Amino acid sequence: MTTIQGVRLDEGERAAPTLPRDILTEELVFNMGPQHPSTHGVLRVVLRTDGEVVREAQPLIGNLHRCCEKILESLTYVQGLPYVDRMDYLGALNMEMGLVLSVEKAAAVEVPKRAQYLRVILCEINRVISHLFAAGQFGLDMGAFTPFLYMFREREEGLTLLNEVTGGRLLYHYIRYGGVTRDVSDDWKRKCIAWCDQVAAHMDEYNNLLTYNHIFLNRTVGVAIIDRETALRYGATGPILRAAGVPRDLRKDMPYSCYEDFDFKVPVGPHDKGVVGDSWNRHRQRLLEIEESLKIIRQAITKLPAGDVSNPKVTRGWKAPEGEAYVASEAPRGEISCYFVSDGGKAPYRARMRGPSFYNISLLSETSRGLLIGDLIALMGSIDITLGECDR
Amino acid sequence: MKALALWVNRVWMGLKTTWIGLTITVPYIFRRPYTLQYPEEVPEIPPTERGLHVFEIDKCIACDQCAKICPVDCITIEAEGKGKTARIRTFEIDYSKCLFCALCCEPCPTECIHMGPQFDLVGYTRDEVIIDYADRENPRCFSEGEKIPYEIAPFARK
Amino acid sequence: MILAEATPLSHHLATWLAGLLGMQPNWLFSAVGALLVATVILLIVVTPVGLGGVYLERKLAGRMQNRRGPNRVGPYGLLQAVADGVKLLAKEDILQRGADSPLFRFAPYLVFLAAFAGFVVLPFAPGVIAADLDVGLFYFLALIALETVGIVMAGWSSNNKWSLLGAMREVAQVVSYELPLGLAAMCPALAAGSLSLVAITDYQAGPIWNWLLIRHGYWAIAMVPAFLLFYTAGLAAAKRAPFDLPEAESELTAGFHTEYSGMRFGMFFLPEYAMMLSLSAVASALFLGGYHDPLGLSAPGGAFEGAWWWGFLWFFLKTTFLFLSQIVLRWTLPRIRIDQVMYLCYKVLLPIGMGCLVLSAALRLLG
Repeated sequence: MTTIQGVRLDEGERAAPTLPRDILTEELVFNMGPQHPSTHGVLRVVLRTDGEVVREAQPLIGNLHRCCEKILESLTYVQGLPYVDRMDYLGALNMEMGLVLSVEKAAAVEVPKRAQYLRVILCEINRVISHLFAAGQFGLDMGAFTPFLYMFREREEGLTLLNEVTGGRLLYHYIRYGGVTRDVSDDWKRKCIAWCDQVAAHMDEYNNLLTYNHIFLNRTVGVAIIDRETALRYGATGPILRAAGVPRDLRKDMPYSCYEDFDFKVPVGPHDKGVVGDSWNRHRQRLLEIEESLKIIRQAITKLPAGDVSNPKVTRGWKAPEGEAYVASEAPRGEISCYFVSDGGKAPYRARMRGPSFYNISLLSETSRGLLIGDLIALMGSIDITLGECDR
Repeated sequence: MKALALWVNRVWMGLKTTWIGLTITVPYIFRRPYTLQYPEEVPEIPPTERGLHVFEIDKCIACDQCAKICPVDCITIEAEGKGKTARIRTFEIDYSKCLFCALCCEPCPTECIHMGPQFDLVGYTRDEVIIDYADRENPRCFSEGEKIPYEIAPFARK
Repeated sequence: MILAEATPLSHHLATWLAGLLGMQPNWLFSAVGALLVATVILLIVVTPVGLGGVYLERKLAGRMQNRRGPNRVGPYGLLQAVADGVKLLAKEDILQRGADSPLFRFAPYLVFLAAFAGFVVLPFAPGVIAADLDVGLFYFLALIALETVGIVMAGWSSNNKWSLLGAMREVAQVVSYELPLGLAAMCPALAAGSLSLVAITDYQAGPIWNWLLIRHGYWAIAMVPAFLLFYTAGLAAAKRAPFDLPEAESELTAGFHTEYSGMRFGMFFLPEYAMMLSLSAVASALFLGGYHDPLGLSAPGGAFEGAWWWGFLWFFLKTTFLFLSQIVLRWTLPRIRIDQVMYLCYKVLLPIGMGCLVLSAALRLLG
């Protein structure tokens, strides 16, 4: 703890403008309450600021806790699946993958190859629309209202595609133990590739309007730097970690569901502007990941093998045999995994879901020291949390 | 001097990126909007859509499979008798609880319950969102011989 | 009397009123006449500003965002602003228990006053002006300073830390940006040799190359930066994006007017459009020739000399163009952070403003 001119600074605090002792002011305690335009969901942040400079920001989560894991223990396997959709409602298929992969590994259930490819296609479409939402929301927090709506236009087409296959636009209930529910038609495949082309064509628009805009660059370059050590220490995963320079992507490092068959790059920060791990890099990271996901979708559609889409051995009353497994997969916001324990009963004994936003939000208190309130908004927007998977 | 060059560059970049942004957004003023004028123009609903249920009352045998599998217990069935001679008195689905997961459609042995294309249901009280499909005046309750007017995709059987 | 000589219109009104009552026009009648003119102009002005501004903003915003904008209320949504006004009037008037009630109630009126009082010096057409003050430009700039008092009152009396933060930001921003605004406004005043808006406008009488922006070609090196400076500083003074941090929707919910509901909020809402409009009007009067057309027909000796409808048409076109450009900029650009706003003011715009002033003085001296 150092003392400069009578004002105590905690270790690591960015040297905010210091005041001589006789005009030292009081600190304000703000409540960025559960209802706030830029907390992404019902997140409550208690701020202690010295004017505009944040001295401490404490996130208080739990407003969206719905006892998901306990409910999973009381419902049968088939009944419990709709609940994991609702964890990260913006990337619901990836949440389903989180649970289903662990259960399938514990029960040694075989999944036909066509079903695996379909899972990949739809999870990547879901990743694209989730990143479009996150990037647009970040622009909205920064005050750029228009790119949000342009991205929603692309998102709308993606949601229509998912609707045609799964029946839902936001919550899909598509991935089941042993496969998926429905097959796709050739018409759908054609539409999907057309959509990929459309999104790729509009990326220029987003970049010119938002990403390389001088005001946006000023707002986000060098702001709220989450460097490699901090990210690793807090267990942050996903675009935050990759923008901080750590080349970790579970689709490459621990491939699941035939991801090893596809050729795609993993974008890693630093990107062309800004410092590694700053807000701009996280934003750019998401846009680059959209482009990579489009590549995966195109490859998967062209290489889609014939076959079943579900395992006929997994019936409605199916119970997993005794066992446990932990499989992690890559959700849009980070690493989603489930530690699944079964004792042979009709319901899981324990299905502990690890939602990435819970660990990502813990970065808030350390990284926000010394930021201005505007920068705090940039930090929260670029971390991109969804309270559903944070609180479950 | 270097600081001056940096300053001039910043001012220039500010103006230039503003201009680029304007060239993107202003042409949109003259383009056709992307939105649909709901409720006059309705989006195209695919047959797989999991909307409000569609019930073919004469096929139902009151086996209670749909009510048992529902994760949130939103289906209430009251019937007299079982099997082909069952007479359904009430078949209520409480949409304030319904997850729209379509699990009720899977176990039905006679394939009498489906999920249809209607996605909007509003009411001023909680009672208004409980729909009784045994009421034959319900537009989504179909009797023997009545053809369902919209296309409903067959559900993947497990 | 000074009042009577300043405005021919109010003088006519005063003598008519006096004649009605069979008395000599004295200072009382002049005062009443001036007040009536100001009120009528305000009424004629507030309604279009309120209705037109709100409607145009929402419609343009919608179109830019690839959607429609309001189109349900009235044909093409033209009555949307009326519906908004009715909604605001019908809302519950919430007065917080902890709020400083007199200040809380008075603040919107002060802001409203400051914004709309600027309209009395705007030259709408040749001879159509509420008060042709000799120091019209100075009066206009001073009113912007008055607005900040109202906003700080609103932010403080709301008993809400977020409102206070928004008010503090706003004060810092607007008061700082008055400097480049004033400097930029001084350049045309230097060129024309007067602070009166009518005099500056009439200095630009003639075809388009008489307009101060590109006067004789060589004036452009001083006037084009000055115009951009005035426009940018005007955006900041009107708290429009990209300088809308005081009412940053994503950060402070609504900034200094978070706690205001119903028509009290309307009293903040209208002055925003009024400021936009009056700044556009003053910019067009200072740099773009005001009510003169580009062909020079309203200049002395031209075909439409003194024709008020011709002048008003051109004034309207120029002001609307600048108004629409402000709306378009809002929906294109992100928001600038408050310390960057300060940087922009003191380290970018102020030096440019001083440079323009020096250049204008030099150009004036050289002829």
